[in-house]
Amino acid sequence: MTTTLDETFTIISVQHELGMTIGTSFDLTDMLTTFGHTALKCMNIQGIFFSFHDDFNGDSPLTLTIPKHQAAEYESLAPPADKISHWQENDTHYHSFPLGRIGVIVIKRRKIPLSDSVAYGLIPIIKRLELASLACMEHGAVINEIHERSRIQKELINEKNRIATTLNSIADAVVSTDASSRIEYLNPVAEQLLNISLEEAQQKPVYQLLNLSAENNASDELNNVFHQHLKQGNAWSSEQALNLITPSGDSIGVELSAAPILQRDSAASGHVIIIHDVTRKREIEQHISWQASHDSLTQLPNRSEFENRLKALFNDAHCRNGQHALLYIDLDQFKVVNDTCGHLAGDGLLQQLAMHMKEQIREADTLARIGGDEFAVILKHCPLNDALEIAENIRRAVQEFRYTWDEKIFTVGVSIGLVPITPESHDADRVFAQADLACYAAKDHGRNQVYLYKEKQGEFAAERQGEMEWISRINTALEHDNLILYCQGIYPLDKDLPTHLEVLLRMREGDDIIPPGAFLPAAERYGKIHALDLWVVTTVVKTVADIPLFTCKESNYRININLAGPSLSDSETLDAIKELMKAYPDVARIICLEITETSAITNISKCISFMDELTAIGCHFILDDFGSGLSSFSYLKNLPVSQVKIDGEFVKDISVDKIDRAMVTSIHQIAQAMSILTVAEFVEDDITLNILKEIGIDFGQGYGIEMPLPFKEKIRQLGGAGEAPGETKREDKGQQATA
Amino acid sequence: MANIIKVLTESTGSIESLQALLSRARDYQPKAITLFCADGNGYTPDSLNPILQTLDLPVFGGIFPQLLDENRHLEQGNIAILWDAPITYVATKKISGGDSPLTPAIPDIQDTPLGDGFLMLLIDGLSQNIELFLDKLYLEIGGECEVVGGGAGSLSLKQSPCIITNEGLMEDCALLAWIPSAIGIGICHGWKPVAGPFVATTSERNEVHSLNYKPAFQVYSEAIHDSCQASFEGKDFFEVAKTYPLGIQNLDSQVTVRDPIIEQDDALVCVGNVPNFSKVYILKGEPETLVQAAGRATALSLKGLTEKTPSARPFSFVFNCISRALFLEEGFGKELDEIVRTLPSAGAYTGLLTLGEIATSELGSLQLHNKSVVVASMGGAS
Repeated sequence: MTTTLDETFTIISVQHELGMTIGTSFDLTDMLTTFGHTALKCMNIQGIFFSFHDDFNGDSPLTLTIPKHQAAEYESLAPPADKISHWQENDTHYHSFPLGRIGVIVIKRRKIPLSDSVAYGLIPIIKRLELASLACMEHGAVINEIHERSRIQKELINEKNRIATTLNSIADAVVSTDASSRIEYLNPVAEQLLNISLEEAQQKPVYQLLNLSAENNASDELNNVFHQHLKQGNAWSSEQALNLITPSGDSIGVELSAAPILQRDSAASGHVIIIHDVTRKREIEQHISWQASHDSLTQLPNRSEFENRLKALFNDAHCRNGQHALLYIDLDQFKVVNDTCGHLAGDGLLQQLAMHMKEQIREADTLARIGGDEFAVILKHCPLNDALEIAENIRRAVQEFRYTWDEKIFTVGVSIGLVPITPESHDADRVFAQADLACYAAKDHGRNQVYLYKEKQGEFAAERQGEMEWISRINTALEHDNLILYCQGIYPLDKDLPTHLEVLLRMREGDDIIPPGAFLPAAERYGKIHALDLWVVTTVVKTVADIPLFTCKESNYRININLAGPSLSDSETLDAIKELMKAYPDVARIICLEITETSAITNISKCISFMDELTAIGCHFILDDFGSGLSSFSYLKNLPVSQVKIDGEFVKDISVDKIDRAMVTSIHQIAQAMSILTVAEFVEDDITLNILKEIGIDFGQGYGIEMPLPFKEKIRQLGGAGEAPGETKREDKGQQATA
Repeated sequence: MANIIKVLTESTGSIESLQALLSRARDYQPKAITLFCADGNGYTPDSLNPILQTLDLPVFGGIFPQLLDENRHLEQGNIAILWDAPITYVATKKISGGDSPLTPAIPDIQDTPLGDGFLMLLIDGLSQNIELFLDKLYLEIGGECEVVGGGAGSLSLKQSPCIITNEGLMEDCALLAWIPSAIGIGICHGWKPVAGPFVATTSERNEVHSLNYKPAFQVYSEAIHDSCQASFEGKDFFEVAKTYPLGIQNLDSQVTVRDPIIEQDDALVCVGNVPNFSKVYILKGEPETLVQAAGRATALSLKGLTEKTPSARPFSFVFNCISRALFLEEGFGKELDEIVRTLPSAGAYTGLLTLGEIATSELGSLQLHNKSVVVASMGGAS
């Protein structure tokens, strides 16, 4: 084989062209691509294939085919890896060149194979390519490492920035320390909380900045425990409420937790301390707690809190052996203020009374509002005599207090039940009940007094227990129609006026007829009075509805029915009565409803409205027991009543008591001036009757005139044909019936 | 398989003539039309687009410096090649440089192998990156499919919209039409070495800065002076250089012509790249050898076709460099005669004078040629 100079020139030129592409890039693929593209053109070849056994990165072997779509064709070839080779398939020639130990190159040419001289001429170029490829691989490995480092560095920077941003954004103070508990980092919240910049704080021992205190723990001891945990590389958080004492001496409520930063060997390289400012949280908690345990009106502890304190007193062994006392205070006449001047006035009175009562007790004592107008006091370590004195002071202070509202001056009293608490006392509940009982006794004994609980009062308790039993008996009577009506005549004394029959209620149990005094107090106390009143009114109206004696226009009879105070305040009862009267207008004309002054003014506007409506239908109203309560003539003037019934207490001794007589005279004269007729009850003898006639009283009622009779029998006596429930029985005027 | 139904030619180049030509084309019910227009027609997007955009069948082609019809070259006129099958084509836009890397768009012919036909490449001859486009195209299709075509545009060397599509005229783009037919290709130029070889010791794309480590223009001018007694003194560079192109010799001794058109700072600026360290000759053309080369290219193409699919009525596309016509001047007719003479009696051809010729070489590479004639012969016209 002879190689011409021209061919040699060509080979050198090709070597140059190819050689200039070697080392043009540290990226192996880039370099081989450039080499391959140049080879395609300068060697007039159809394709080139590079295959590397392995690379330095341990990745899968690299192959590169130019053009790439020929890849499958080359990969099916198995060129020898250790020598230059040439083979032909149809009109395609393949030349393979080993790339040292690292791979092989295959060149594909159409029709004309590379000459031997060209093939040999390529050897030095391919050797250079091998070395350059190795360099690229090494470089690639280094570059990869650098890239990896750079990537990790960037990630670390990003992570650091993220953490910094997070720390700067969170609302908690974050402090980090090194292994020797010296400050390394403070976030902005920590800088603000500790009033120190990061630069100033760095390297300072953490105990210089974090001075903690707790309510039940000495500061030094607490700080020692905290710093000991840090020193030992332990996590720490306090279970008790902590305060951070700032350098300026302020105390800030905080929650604090310290977590160790653990190294691979689990040793702590420092701590991250999170400090959460809970000042506001504690304020809210305290506020909520205070609200839950105090009465918002008087700012005094409420019933729940009072009971807790009372129980705590019993549970405290130290206190348990001491002498204490419990006062149960109920305001007298408070309702009058509340009802006459409104709740605002009542609230103002309660506030001022609370203040006055508090002035009478000692600092260690507890005054609480335990109900609407009920208060209680725990007098700790207070002998009985001292307790009595304090209770009396309270009573006197309240009595002497003058409450002014809308130019009106009110005075109230208090009934106070006092129970000494001794080591022998059973439990808080029983003592509380005893105090309640004593207070009740104080009221029962005339109000505005201090009543010391005595065992004898157990009888009282039994009585109240008995009241509860009455409720079921009243219910049974209502359900089984065991209520019966009596009546007592009210007769005109000298004038030509209609005769009134006051209807009286009894209960029948077997053969016994039970007087109203036995069950009405219970009915009133436990809310059954409305049902009884409504039963009476309905029964009376329906009974007389068909009796012409009563319903005829010229009827000379009137029927009086008592309405209790609670009924006058109950809209449903009043509405039912109104509907009934509207349904029986002929009966309504003869009905006279007896109401007491106190019950009328409890809800004066509602009551007047009710009275006006029924008056329009034809009903009449009588003010009962006049003189026993407020005896306010102004109410007499404003209420649409046609008669006043003078309280029997003034009437029964009128023959011997000049004052009673003067009172009765006075009431009659004023009523007369108002065109209101007067009724005297408790007329028990003729002397009384004559005096009443002398005074000019219009009607008389009492055993001296007529004994109560069953309503049915009385109707029969009068010539009426109607049926009425009940039988005749003597009325006990001392327990004046009411419905 | 696509066949040519008819080739219609008109030589006035007016829009009306074109419309009449296309109207006539409809009579043959073609499935696609290849439309070659002469630059001298003066067509603009405004005048041509309404026609192109209303055509309801595929139309593709280009505006070229001149058209070849039998033995005449037309400075004005239109040639419509009517196909009996739809032709799939696609244009790659902004080949001189866009926002994204240059990626040749290949016609989507579904599952049909590209090798069942050939690609006709019509490219804006004044675009940058023509050879980069060819390199990338080759890397996409390899030797699977042969490519033939040429550069469109104006001899004024002023770039303007010159590629014809149904969307209208386009500038700075490359159109690839896949024609399902076997093809034979012949590439010849007829230029002969008069000096060299030299090594292009410093070159950058189409600029040769040094030959044998000396300023390229100095080496070039001395060589043509020494070998041909030609001188640039007092003359326009191209006036002299058009007779003495460079030839790049490859490993197989084939010479690819590069036309130096400008001298700039002692560098030779060519139409087409000159690779660094490539072996370069200075060539000289003789009318006789150029004419012979045209005939040889035709013969080679027919031979190549016959090797694949013997055809009694071959049809040839001739992509002839405009500079050959400029060089041969009046003698260019002889070159056309030579082509016609070489074709069989039943054969036919249509041709273009182009700004650069493109063809897949015998050995499979895809190259841009200058001052050459590329003949692509396909099986039968109807």
